[in-house]
Amino acid sequence: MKSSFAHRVAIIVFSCFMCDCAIVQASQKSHPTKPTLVIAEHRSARLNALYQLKEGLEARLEINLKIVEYPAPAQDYFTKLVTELRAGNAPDIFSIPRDVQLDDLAAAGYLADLTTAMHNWDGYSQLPKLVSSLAKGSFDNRTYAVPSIVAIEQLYYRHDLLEAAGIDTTQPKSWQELLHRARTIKQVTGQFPLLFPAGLTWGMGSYTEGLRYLLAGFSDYRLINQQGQYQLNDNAVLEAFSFYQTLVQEALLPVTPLLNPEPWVIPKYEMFPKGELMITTCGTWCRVFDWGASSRNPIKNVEQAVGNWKIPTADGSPPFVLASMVYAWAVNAKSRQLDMATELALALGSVDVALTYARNLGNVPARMDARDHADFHQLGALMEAHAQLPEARALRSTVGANAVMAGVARSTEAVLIGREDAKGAQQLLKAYVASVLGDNAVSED
Amino acid sequence: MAMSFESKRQLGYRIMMAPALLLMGAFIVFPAFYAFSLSLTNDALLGFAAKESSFVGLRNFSRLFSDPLFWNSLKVTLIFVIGSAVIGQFVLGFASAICLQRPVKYKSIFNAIICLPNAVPEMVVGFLWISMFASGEYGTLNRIVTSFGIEPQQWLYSFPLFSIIIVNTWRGIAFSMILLTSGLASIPKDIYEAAKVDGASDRQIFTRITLPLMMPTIFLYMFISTVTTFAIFGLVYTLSRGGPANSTEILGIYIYNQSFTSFQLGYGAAVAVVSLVVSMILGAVYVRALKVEV
Repeated sequence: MKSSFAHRVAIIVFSCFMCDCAIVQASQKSHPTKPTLVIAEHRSARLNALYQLKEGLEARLEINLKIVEYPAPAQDYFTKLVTELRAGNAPDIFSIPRDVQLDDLAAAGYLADLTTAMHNWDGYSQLPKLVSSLAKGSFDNRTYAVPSIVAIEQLYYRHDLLEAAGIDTTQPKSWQELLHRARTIKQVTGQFPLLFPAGLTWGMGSYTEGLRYLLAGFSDYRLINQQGQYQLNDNAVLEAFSFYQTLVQEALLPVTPLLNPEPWVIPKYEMFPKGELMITTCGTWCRVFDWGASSRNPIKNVEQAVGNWKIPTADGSPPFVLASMVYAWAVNAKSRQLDMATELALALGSVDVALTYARNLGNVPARMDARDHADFHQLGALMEAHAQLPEARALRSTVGANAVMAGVARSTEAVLIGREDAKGAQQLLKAYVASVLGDNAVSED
Repeated sequence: MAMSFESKRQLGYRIMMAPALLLMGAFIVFPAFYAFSLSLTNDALLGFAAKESSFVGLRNFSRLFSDPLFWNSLKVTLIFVIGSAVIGQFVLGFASAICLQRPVKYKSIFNAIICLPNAVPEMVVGFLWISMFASGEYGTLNRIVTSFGIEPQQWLYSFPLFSIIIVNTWRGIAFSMILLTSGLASIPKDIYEAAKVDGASDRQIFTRITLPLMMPTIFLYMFISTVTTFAIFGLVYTLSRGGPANSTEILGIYIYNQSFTSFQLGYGAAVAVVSLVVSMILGAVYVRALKVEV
């Protein structure tokens, strides 16, 4: 009996060993001599795009590409990536969700310097100046990322419902005009007129999709000064918080949903499609993901039903669109195959790759020569957004942006729950950033 | 120089304890000291400090004590611990233990029902209760209340702290019941019989015999449940992520947010050190002040 049991165990162990050998051999058989590069990717739309491109990239660069799937939510993806970069076991190549995160990663020494490779790359001259500058570290002017796609951000509104209610749908030029429009919407329809993301649980989005829109509305305001300090004492910051305060005090903004664990779900995916919210900040992706045909609550004829306005300004200058370099490719500074990984990053910056990603994600290619590509017309309405790229604005940040975004989340939450007024929120932001980054990080002016 | 029998026995004990001590040293004592050393630096996962951190003395602690969000987090944690571990789990667990001491039909089924929540992983419990608490008409709890003519609620928004206390109570009753059942079983039956012969009422038997003799078990349970509830993270993270407006931001969530959302390892470690000290003080209160041997 005993020998029979031992015999069975031996057979199982031997079988497992043989299977393992077979699997290893099979995996090596595919491309035995080619180097393997590990790439991090997340979210099904991005993964789908990468799987479509994988074979072509492997053939073009003569590599094996191992795709590692990361958690879908941007914050979870970034946290996992950063902890792996710190631990030294991160993939060779990965994408940076927002340009605002680049400086903190580069200053930590996680990103390989791609300056020389970028200058020798044929795509570099095709990048608008704004985009190529966002790929550089603000503290050393070195290039750390290969831009592939860009989000064009502005205000999106329910054109169908406002027209039906007889409310003006022309472009509002100033904040005052936008507030006036919001008050009219509330009065006529009884619905919430405006959403500017805010609060702790929205995280970095409280800055990138909220306060940033307002700060960029001052043509002469810069988030950082010549010395690289954050200008949080500026009147523009106070005015931006005052705008939030007005929205909260006059109940023009749906406060309650913003305090939920996933604050974007109710206003963007439920209220806006139902017509309970009329205007929201968003990027080109919203028409695809948030309200498109395959979204959870699609809006019928979304292209006609949802209109877009440029962002009105605070100082009377012309309205504008914001551009964010999203998911630019970066190379792990500790990659054992730095040259090959750099080559892959540049390949991922090519027009055909950018177009595949742009189509899947609802963004626009970063390169201007994308419009000459045969498949460019497949972008549909996004072609118009691509044309806006050269005139778009961006708000440059520097090292410590993560602390600024965390501070914005806290201070906007204080306004939401009525704990602070605009002045108090500004003080809270300054104090938080100074406590994290040191007093020298915040300008006194 | 032959070893005496006693010395050999002592050596044997030490050798047997060595692996446990080694593991405790590697996974509890060393990380605690490491966290303390980290709390004295400005170490971070991002920015220049990630590349080269520097010693900042007690700056993280002074920042922490002036941070209203930390105090809020400590307050929320204490309410959560008292509400779910000290009151909820204990009262219901004790009541279940007493009820199931008596001859009850289908006792094993009741036992299994009470023990089931403890068999479900923390994160799964979180997702199950998200479905229960879901707002709108699809939430299980809302379906129940609407059948009684009550308006659907946003449970995790309107009653956030109460909701997570309920979930943790539900999950912890089994442990409380098992421990307290073993305590009840250890009380000699002849004491009860003697009390009944003397004409003691059920209430008198409970307050003068059961409760005093159960005290060591009760305090052992209180000690364990307080310390473990203090360290809860996954359940609350899944349910509310600390919101809305920090109303469920227990210390575990606060530490995570500081370390892995704001990426400030030094400050996060300072909060963890304070959390450890608070846990140790609470443990010491149970063990020392109440003079119960554990």
